[in-house]
Amino acid sequence: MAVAAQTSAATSGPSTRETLLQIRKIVMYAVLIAFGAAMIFPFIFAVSSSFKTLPDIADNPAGIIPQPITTEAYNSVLTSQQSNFPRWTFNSAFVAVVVTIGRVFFSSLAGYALARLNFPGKQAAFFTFLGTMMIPLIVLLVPRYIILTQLGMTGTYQGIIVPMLVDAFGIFMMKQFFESIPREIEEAAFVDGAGRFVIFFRVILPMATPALAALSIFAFQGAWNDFLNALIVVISNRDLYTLPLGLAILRGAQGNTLIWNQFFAGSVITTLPMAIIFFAFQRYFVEGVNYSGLAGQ
Amino acid sequence: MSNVSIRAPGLPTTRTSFERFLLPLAGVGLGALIGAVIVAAIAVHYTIELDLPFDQALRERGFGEPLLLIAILAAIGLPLLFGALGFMRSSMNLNPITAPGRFTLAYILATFALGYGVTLILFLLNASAALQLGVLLLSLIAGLVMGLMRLESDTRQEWMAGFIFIAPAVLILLIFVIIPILFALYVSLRDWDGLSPVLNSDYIGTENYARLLVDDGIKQRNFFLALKNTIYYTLGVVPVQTAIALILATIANQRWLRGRNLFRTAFYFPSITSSIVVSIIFLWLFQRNGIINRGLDLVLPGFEPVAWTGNSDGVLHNIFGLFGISPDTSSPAIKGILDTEIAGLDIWNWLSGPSVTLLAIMILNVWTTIGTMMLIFLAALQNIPTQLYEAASVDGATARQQFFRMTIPMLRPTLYFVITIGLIGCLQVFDQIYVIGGDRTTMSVAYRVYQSGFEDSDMSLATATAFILFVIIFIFTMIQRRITGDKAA
Repeated sequence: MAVAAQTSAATSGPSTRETLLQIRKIVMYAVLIAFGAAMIFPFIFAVSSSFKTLPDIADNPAGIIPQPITTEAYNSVLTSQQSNFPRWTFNSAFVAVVVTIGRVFFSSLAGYALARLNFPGKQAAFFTFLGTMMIPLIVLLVPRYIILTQLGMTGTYQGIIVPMLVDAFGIFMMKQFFESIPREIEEAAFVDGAGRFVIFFRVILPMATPALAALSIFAFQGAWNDFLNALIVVISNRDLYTLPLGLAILRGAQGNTLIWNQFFAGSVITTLPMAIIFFAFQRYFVEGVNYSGLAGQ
Repeated sequence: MSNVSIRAPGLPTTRTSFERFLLPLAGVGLGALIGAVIVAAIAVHYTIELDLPFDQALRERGFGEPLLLIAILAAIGLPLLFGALGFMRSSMNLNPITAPGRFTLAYILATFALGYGVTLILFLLNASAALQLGVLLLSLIAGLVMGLMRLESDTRQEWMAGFIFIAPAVLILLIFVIIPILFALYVSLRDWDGLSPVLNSDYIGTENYARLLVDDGIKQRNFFLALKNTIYYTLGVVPVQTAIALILATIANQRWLRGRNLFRTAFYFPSITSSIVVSIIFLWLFQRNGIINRGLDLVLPGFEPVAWTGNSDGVLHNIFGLFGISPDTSSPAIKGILDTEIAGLDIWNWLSGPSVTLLAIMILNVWTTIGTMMLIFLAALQNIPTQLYEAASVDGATARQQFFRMTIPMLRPTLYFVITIGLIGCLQVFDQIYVIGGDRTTMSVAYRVYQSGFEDSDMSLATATAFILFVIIFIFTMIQRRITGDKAA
């Protein structure tokens, strides 16, 4: 629409052209604001509803200010026997932190090896990593469950954590970053007599902080929001539910009569840590998306 | 150290007597390795299918049985044959300096040949299988260590670092991706409930795939229902999310724009939120007396509230209905055609589109993903030099021409990337269905995998369904690659 305005502007006189440009700008702002509002309002509704009473939610769903404001939903969610949100929050945090550390560490090790070291089997490893990127999680659902059962890892933390410790995307992201570091830096350290491990940990890794930060954010987000992986591994052990799994199972248990304010309280608890990290490290989120976008080029 | 003598490049290696016979021995080792694999396959066949331990079969049935004859020929004949070939090709470069990879491989194969000889003797002496396997494994490791010791220390150090750096990633992907995918392929050819030992289940070949794809019945019907839903879902979501993301990114890339970061934050926020949380919020928004219906009521006078959840009516069915088209009002001849079943679903069902509830989930998916896609487009747009646009403007190119003739072609690789991740995501839709839908009319193929495996205890059907989905994803990705083109690959 805005594009069409510009087309006709090209053939009109200068003054109409000015006005049309102004109109075009206004239309563009309007589009951005409309979509921005559509993105944010559902969350505003959710937060405000989490402080509402049930009748208030039913009568006045779109009201931003709760009448009255109450923390009743949070109290019942945090103390309820049916759910176990304090424990689930700990589980989510524990899983996400361990997965993030592991994924960043293993991805940078493997990424560095692919980028800089020559050894037999490197090509094979490269294509193995590339191939695993093409395999969707849903295809692995059943066999991974079976292997975890064989290893006695269902219903345990390690069952959720270990399969998520490595993903090929992180390896390629780190590989790409390491390739952008000039070789001379390593060669200088090498001439000084430093070994490969020393060079990697003391020289290369500290230079990779931006990439490591971006990957950490990606890994944390993936682990914190993971649902499918946790669903098959710990469904039998309510104490090990992560927040998304707990919410989904509660929703299933309550059928069509949901206690909405409690669900919104649970949703806020699930979203808040991620939101805080997002606002604190926004730059790295954007950087991470840029990396993934560039990976596609 | 011995390798001091071989450090100077160009000098011939000082060779041990073992290394003088490296190539023929490596030949024997290669033959032994291939032979061992053949023997192992035959042994597994005897133990599992015929319930007869291999060595017992060998003693009782001897050479009479063709399979056992093949096993013996492979175990003895192949090593001899490859060893002889090694003798003839003595000109091969096995210098540890100029060909370290080939040298080490030959070393491993040569020690394996020795280990294999010992194992054959142990087998004749009736030693335990564990001892035989141990000797084989030990000979491989010994070869690797000895081969590495003979290399230049720089090469060795680099290799060791490479192996150690790559090992954790390879190990975890091996255990949790590669072995599972091979195991899944195996399971999909059997009739296994996931509870009893898998070896006790029957081998039924491609029967599971046939039940899903060609054999009339409830399994085929359920699968094609899920497939129909998934295809409508994907074809509906991907173009819309890509187009909106591209438009928003183009606007956000305008130089005069203020508050770019604010918009970027707002658009990206849904992407960082848990799919479960987002689904719960949308479940609420789309309730009968929820905000979406109330909002539509404000905008459209005389609007009838839509039951978004639990609504099995096809969207296209409803639209056709507005024009008075439905199977019930059609002439008998047309009704006959519309009632014809293809793959378990009647034609009208195929044509009726996604259910209203699925449409709500599609809207939700578009809403969550455009933020990420917009950021990817924006990053690519910012890489296009502004001088190009300035030059084009000077030459009189309109904004529309600039967009379609310059921006789109330059964004081609990014476009390919975004559409592909959109396709892959949509074809696998699961979480949102789990929370919002889960009944027949929102059933996706991914949800069908979960349901067959974990609710109906039919692991074989679940893995077969998953593989068909895998193939579909693969084909879509390939078609996509063809259409958007050359450079992207």
